[in-house]
Amino acid sequence: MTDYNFAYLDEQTKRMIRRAILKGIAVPGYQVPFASREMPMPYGWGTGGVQVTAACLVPEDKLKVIDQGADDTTNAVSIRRFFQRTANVAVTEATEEATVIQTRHRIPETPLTEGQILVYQVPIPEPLRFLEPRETETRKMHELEEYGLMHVKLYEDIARHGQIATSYAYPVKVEGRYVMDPSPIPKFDNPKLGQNPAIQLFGAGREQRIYALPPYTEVVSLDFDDHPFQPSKAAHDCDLCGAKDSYLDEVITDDAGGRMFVCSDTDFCAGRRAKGHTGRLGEAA
Amino acid sequence: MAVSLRMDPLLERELELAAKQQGITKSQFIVDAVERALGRKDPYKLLLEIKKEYGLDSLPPRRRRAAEKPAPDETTGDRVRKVLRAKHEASMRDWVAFHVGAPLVAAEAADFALGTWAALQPVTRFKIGQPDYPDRSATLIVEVDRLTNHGPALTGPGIALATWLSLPETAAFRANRALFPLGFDCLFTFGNRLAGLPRSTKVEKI
Ligand SMILES: [Zn+2]
Repeated sequence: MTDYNFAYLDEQTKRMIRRAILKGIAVPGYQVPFASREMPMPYGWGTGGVQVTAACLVPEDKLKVIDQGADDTTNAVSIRRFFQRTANVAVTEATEEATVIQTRHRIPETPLTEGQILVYQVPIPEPLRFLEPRETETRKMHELEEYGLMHVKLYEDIARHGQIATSYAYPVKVEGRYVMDPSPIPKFDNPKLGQNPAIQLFGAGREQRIYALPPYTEVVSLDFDDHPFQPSKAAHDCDLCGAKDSYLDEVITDDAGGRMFVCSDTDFCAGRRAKGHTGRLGEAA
Repeated sequence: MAVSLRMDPLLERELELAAKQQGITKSQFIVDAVERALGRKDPYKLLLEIKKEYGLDSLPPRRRRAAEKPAPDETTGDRVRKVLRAKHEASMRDWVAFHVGAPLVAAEAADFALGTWAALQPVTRFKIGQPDYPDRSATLIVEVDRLTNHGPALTGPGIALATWLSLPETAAFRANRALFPLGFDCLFTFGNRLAGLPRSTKVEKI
């Protein structure tokens, strides 16, 4: 298909998005407004992430797309095909081979490296939105670093559940300045946000916001001295590859309540099995 | 003799624009450009020739208003160069308008500013963004005559531990950092090399 401009968006739009990205990188964690474009897919499909990816891609790139850690879900496959058609870029499922990775709800297990770009699809960019629905007010709160309300919310969690119950989209503070929503990744992934050698870009299409974490940025998950942040993890190993340190999905295997735990990062799990690692139910690939 | 030539559409549009601006035809413009390229035309030499031809040098100087009086040490060559520079600036303006589609504005209103560090002074006049919209700040594109990893020490987001960069000075960047999250951002360019210095970077003399 050659009737599209490279990566679908026109050059003027890509320039506008790149400018927003650069300002986002200059002020880590701050949400930069941008004029989101109509994309040939519904909002829930990550139009913000798709626009950011389109603005970053060059013909030499190798693109990986994951949804909840998997390369083979409908959402991931559709977005990957979209860029194959409109940008004709090479694609891969291997984290270490990819130059651009678009993700929904996970950070790959395999450590990222310098030169890689991780693009997050973000449904709600404003971490204070659930506490304060008015944009004018949340903007003022960010301006004044007035984040007390966020701490009150987390503290209510502790009062009610004995611990901080928030397990996805767990808020972080960036470079000691802006409180940021890391998108609905499990809090298990939060420690990977900080000091990451890759560039992390966040795109929210419906809400028209772009924000960024440059490489090696300080990112701290909000907590309290007496209730320090704890990245939770299921008390299991992967049943296929035996990994002890990866984020696991629970899979129901039969009507009789049979279940197994497998890495949510399919490339990571397959890679381990290819190296001969096996879990409780796995066979070496 | 008629020569036909093939040109990419963008270049042709640019040619059209430039010719129109000078009030000549496209082929006149091309002939003129070829003559220049072959060294047949040097505007200052041409002026001297015309002057000689018409004996302009021997004419008594016309009365000028004080403001127009050239500085005593200003030669005719200097004056011609000044006029040419003004003309170049005007064509630069048109070039930016044509290729970038951006209007040229005063420093205080600019989203982007391009120049040498000296030409951009004082940098304190550029936009630093607003407390609720820190992104509404200027980006300075600074042409430098060298770009190496020697010079003031840099730390901050984007830098693993520390790095060094041949910056023109440190004071201005330290003052800019003190404004964070407000401040301008810089891109230093040298030939085909580029270095970014966002407002978040801490700059220290070593
Ligand atoms: Zn596994």
